[in-house]
Amino acid sequence: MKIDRRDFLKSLSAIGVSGIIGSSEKVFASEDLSGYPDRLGMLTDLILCNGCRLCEKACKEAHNLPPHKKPLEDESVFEKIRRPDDKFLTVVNRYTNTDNEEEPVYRKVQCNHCDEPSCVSACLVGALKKTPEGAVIYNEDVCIGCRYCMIACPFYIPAYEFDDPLSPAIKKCDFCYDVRIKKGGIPACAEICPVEAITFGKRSQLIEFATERIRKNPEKYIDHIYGEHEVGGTSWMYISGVPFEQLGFDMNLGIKPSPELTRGFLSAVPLVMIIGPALLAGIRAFTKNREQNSEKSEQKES
Amino acid sequence: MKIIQGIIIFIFAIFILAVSLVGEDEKNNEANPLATKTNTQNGEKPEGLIFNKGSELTEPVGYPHKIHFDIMEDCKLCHRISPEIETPSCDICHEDPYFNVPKTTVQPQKMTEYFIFNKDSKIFDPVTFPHLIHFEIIGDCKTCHHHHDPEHVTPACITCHDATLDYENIEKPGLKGAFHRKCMGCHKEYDIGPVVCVDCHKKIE
Repeated sequence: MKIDRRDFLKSLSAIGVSGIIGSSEKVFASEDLSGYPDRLGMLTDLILCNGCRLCEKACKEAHNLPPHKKPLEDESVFEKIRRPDDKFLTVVNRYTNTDNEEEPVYRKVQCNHCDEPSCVSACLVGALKKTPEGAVIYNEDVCIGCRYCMIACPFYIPAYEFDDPLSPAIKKCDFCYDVRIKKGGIPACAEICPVEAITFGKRSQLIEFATERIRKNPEKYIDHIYGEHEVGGTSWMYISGVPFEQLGFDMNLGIKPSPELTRGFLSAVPLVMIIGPALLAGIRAFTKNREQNSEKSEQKES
Repeated sequence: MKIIQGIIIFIFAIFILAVSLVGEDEKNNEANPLATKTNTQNGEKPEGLIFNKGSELTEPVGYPHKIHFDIMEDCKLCHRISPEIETPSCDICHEDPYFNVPKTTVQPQKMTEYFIFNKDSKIFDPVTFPHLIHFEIIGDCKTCHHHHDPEHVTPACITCHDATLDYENIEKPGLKGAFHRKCMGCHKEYDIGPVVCVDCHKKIE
């Protein structure tokens, strides 16, 4: 069968286009992580939290981290807004309540355990993983220390042990996955919270519970559950009586999972890598044949 | 020296006697007029009682007490049994005798004076909760003992609130949460009593 150059190029481009369209749809379906039905979650009620910082203490004990240097009653830590780091996997910050200056609002910060975590999608070696229970966990043995997860995280949570030159690792809240969840326990911070401002349970139930609580006290709560839809949904959610913007929450993250922003482009990369060389090799083979033919005919003529 | 000791003891004894006499006088003065009427030693019963004096909507109601006794012949049909007083006046147990609002079925005399909580904590010492003082200030058991059924007017907190967190049942606060929310909520609302952790919980050194 004789194929001329035009037909060859047409068929190649047709294969390429169908490949890109077909495969990108497939990728969206297979990497959709919102499907774990019974995944767990946490709900922090910022109206109830009174800033005792026992959650910080319990977290440190559960993860064998060095204890607090200053006593928990020392309020000087609240003077600046802190971020979780390699020694504090969770921190409590204080914000002034503009409506009632006598009653400040305390906000606990930790990994939010996104339903579609950008740290997991950014990790080159699969050191980070979203478990069916909802926790985003980290495997130190696989990590190569590239710290892409730190850049990818929309909440700036993963921290790196910069002071450990020999075996540095990423440190972040792991939902007490190894030490408690696997054994049927509940995370240390939720267990110790004296006012039960942190409720642990199935994510779907927590959303119902939070909605009900807001519905019953519309004058007390802001009608929003932070984390229900932010970056595609997170396992850790917040309800508050003060607008979330005033408490350092990023309200501009959108409801689209962060990995979706790069997924379309990244899924095209392998196709380009396969089709590109094949296409060029085909063109080369075609033109080489023609060159040889013309050379032969030239030789015959001469 | 023995003489001086004897004098001191004597003075002390007189002092105690005087205080107890004064105390009795005060008790008699403070006693409820209704209660004194029904508990008179010579068995005298009030002829009639006038209820609902304070109402702005309706006029006071005259209650023919003696006629009722003559018909029923048993005080205990109305005056429930109490170990201390045979025929207690309504307002000893019921907040408002005219509107019959139940106050408590537990006599204040029988209430536990102190409770000791948080005995197992590794961080804090146990907390002593002055139960009777709280009752005396608040005066209404239902402020804390909420959601009760008529049979069980003052159920213990642990009857409903579980000591260990059950994450299958997140609607109801656990025992720890219930305590802290109730204590601190009230203390904050009325700006009285401790709200900082170490005011109630002494740290284990």
